[in-house]
Amino acid sequence: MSAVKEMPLSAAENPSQNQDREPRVLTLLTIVTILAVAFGLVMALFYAGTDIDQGNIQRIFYLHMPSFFGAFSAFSASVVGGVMYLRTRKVKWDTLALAGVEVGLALSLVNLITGAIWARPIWNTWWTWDARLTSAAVMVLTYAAYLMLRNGIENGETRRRFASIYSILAIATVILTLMIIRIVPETIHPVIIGPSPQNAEGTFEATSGVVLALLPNLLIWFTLVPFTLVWHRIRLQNVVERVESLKAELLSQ
Amino acid sequence: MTYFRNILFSTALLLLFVLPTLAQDDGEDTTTPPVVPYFNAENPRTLFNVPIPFGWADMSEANQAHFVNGDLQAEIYTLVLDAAEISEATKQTIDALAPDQFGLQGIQTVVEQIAAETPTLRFWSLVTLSNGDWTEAIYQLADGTDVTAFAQVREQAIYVLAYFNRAPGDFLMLIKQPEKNAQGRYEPQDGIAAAMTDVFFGETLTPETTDTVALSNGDWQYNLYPPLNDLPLAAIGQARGDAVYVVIENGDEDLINTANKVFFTVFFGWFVTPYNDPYLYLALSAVAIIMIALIASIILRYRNLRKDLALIERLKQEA
Repeated sequence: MSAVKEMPLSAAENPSQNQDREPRVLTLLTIVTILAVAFGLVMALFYAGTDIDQGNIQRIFYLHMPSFFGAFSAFSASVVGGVMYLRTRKVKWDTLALAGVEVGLALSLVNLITGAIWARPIWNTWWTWDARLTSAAVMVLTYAAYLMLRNGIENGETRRRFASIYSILAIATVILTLMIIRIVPETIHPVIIGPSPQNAEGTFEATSGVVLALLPNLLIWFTLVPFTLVWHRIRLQNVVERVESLKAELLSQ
Repeated sequence: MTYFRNILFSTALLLLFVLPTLAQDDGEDTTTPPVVPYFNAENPRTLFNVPIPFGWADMSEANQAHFVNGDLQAEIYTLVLDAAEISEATKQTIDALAPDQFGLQGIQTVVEQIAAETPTLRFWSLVTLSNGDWTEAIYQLADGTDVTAFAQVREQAIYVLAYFNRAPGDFLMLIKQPEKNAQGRYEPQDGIAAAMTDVFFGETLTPETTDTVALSNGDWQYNLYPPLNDLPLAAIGQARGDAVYVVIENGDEDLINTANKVFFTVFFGWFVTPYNDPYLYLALSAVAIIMIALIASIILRYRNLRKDLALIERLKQEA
């Protein structure tokens, strides 16, 4: 949220070009995030022991699950942006929503693709229409549609209003993906924290080694990664807004 | 009022973040599998695990499962032999003569290491099961100990499972794939007959009685033969999946009921850790590509927009 406050949000609000210079906090945050992701990878690839049943492919779990939570974090930011835009009609909140969706979509793609690659040696298939997988795919498609539909609306105010409502409603697909194992207990998707569903295949024990490697990754991908990326995406969108504003100004002269 | 709304809003957001934990904490519709003590190998290059049979002493070392049963006078070894441990000259000889014997050489090396003597090969064969090709060998040691061993070659390593019977007489286990019957199934009786021929070749062995016995791991065909070498002789067989599993006993002890169960507990419970590193590399590459694509698109779009901005501002000044 502080990223939104610090950033110039439109040419009208902050015309000075000096504002485009990357804030020191963001530079520092970016460096910290890169180092943290590297640390998480070291924990996943070298610290955590090899799963005796699944082999080394199990290590992808340390990116698969955290990336989903990172997507959740980013999509939550889009809900905040959507709600706040509808309340205040300030462009900066719509910018936050857009940034949240774009970053969340990338992270959920990471989640989906790493899951499919893990499934190939463990489930002997790249994809199966299991409830959890299907809901995750629906989630990704829903947010991809957000970006496409958003670009299809010419009027700025209408576009932002539509996008805000869409981003608020779309979070239902994220919650559904999280809750689907309660609704459809026949899922074969394993659950690591807590007991797995009866039909789960490819589950493994959350030993102390697994937890020690998972926790930092979860923390990094849930907070640092989406926050840093969303902030960078907001900066980009601010420039987009400024260019559009100046174009309109120039054309009206 | 605004303060109250802000608190309400913050609470709603907090709940949204707590949802993932709640979603993971479902205790209904689940079953907790029974806890089975397992031996887990420690060498990360050649991981495997095997269940520790009930009532057997676990004398295992880091990368070698070793279970001992004093009552049965039996030992089970499960270990991995790195292909590098077999001499290059032996490997070349094997490759030139019969590549399939690589597993057999591995078994012999293991038995030699454990028994500190060169064993006499009594019988060997190759079987193809659902979990891959297996080499089976039966050896006789100088002190009369018979050794039944199975080996599977994977990723430049030989995984060996060996059963040492130190009790008097013979106690042997074989996996046979005889001709299937008209229904396309294996007959336990055919498997037993093939096994008896393999290990007692030259002898005419016709069962005195045949029966079906229910053991803890299913129904088995039970054949009782006339005594051999003044010792009782019996065999059991069971068609299971893609083979007939046969246990032969030529001795005073009634080992079949317990030992066959124990041996096959280890054999069927044995899990070799799969090698799937290429999938890990593929997944890591996919993550890198997605994240780099996102970051690169932000950087490139930003740079292009900065150029656009500079151009527009210049045009604006000129105008």
